[in-house]
Amino acid sequence: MKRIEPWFASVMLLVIIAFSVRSLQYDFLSNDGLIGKGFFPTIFCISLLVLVGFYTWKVFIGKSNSDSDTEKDLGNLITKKVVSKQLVFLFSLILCIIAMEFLGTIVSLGIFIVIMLKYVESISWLKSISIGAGTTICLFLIFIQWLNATLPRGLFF
Amino acid sequence: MQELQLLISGFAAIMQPAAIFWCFIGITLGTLAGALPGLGSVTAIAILLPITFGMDPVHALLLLTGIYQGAMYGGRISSILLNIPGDAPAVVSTFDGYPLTKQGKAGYALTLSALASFIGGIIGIIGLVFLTQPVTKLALMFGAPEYFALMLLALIATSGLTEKKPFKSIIMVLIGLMISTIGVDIVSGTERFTFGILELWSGIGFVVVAVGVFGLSEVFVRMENQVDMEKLKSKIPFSELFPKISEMFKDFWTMLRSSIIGFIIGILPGAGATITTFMVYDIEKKLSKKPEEFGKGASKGLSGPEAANNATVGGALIPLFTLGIPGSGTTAILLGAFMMLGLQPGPRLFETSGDIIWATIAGLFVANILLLILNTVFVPVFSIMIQKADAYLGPIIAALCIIGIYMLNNSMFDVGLMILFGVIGYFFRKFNFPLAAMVLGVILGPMLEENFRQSLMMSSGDFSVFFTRPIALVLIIISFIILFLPIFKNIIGRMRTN
Repeated sequence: MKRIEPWFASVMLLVIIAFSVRSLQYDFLSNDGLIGKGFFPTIFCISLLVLVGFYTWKVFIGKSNSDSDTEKDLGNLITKKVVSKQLVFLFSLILCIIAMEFLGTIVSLGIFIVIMLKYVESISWLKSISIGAGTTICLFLIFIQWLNATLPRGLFF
Repeated sequence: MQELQLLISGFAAIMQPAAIFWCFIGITLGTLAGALPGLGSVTAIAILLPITFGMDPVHALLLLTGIYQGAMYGGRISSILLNIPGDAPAVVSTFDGYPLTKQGKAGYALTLSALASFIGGIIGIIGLVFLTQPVTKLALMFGAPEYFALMLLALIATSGLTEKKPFKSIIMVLIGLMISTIGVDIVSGTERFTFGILELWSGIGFVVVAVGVFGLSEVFVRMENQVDMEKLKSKIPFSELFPKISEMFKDFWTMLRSSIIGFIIGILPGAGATITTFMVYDIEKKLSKKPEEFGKGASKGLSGPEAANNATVGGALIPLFTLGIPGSGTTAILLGAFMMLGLQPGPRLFETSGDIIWATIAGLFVANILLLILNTVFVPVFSIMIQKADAYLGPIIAALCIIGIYMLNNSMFDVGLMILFGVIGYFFRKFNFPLAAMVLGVILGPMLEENFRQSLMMSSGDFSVFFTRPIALVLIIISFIILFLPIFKNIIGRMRTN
């Protein structure tokens, strides 16, 4: 995590710079002397630019407040296994959303739950499929039957 | 006694199976969310918020306020049994709750804390019933400048800006406020920060942000923290859950005193349940004839903070109902929920939707009674549920987040944004940025801007409107005092050490 913080701070700074540049293009005051649409965005963005700039500088010189916590995380919690689990989860989530258009929401989410339980939580196939099927039925009953939600249906539900 | 009549009408409205059912679901989910380390009322409400879209407003509010109260009760279960607080306000319950468990008195500790929670909860709601009308009358005197000042106060007081190191809180509030400006500007009718993306013209809803940063990021965090729930096994003999009544009520005055303190502090924006519990623990220790027992299993060290914790719920709902300002992260999400359900919290809330609000208040009473039963007789069931549910929660939370967000506007773009906020929220958590501050900014941002603009329209662009109206001036002065107090304290502290 300690290695990631400079990247995180830099990306945040870049986003704030983009927003700040855009905010300066909006009218700060309107023609009738009242505040324009850029009044609040400019104030927020410029303040953020200063603060996030300072934070990034602190991170790069190694004086960020979160150092002690991230050290602890690095040693005790964030292992390669955890990171790979998180990445598998994120990519599966994205794949599930893409699959929703083709297979339907409920079926895609059911498959997603089974895969997550099996490969991320390391639960047996039988339990994973049972929990996945049970959750899918509950989701179907709550959202489709009871709430009449309009969800992407695809080939199935 | 008009309040009592209105309350009775509220009871009449909820005395039907569907209303009691939703109340029961809310408190059960809330107790579980409170008991499971890492979750909590904010996350649970954020995840389940989208489900309430198609629901009757009374049922939806019974569900959400049930979760809020249930989480306050549930937090203590893992504190007492595992020495791991379920949520932040339950930290203090570990001080004397876990030592009681080690002494083989887990059942006694759980029942005592449930009773204290019940007394605290009921006193908080009684306070809510009798204080809402006077505060509403006061709030009717408010115009746009007063509201702007109030929003500013709420933002400063509740977002953690008053903490010793408010640097990251300020960044998060500003990020939230910046996000709130994305979309069409209502005065000029033109876009801001949409970067050519059509879907951003309607802005980014607070639900997308809240579900992403609280709900989805929780799934990433859960992959790191595997709590050993096996320790919960066979810790609570069923017979122990029913100690003698005299044993239970020996701390009655402690519970009463702590409840009143908790209620009063709960009203103040920003103070919150966590600060209250620590404060009450300290007070009880000072008042105790045997302060040396605190930390080793003193019953007053458990009952006092638990009563205070639950009394804050009633207190925190007063500014939400009457002024339309949230006093904490949970009430901020509730404020958004009210707006989503077509209700506008503020001085006119009781005029326009009084029947719904009184039914909700009546529901809080019912919820407390149900929670007392649930948290005594069914505690062994909850300990099994906590033990079993933890491994399955991640994927189920993710599935609920996806469906809930899609249902908002039938938009995959919103789902994508939610995932983005989930990832960002995870990194914010890792680097100790307070998430609630950002969500508060997103919720209060539009109101802050709208009231600021209305104030200037009223005064034809004269900024002195905020300083010439007494209530607005007082609120702004309080905001500045709260904001600069930690800095002054720091300076005075340094001067003293020198």
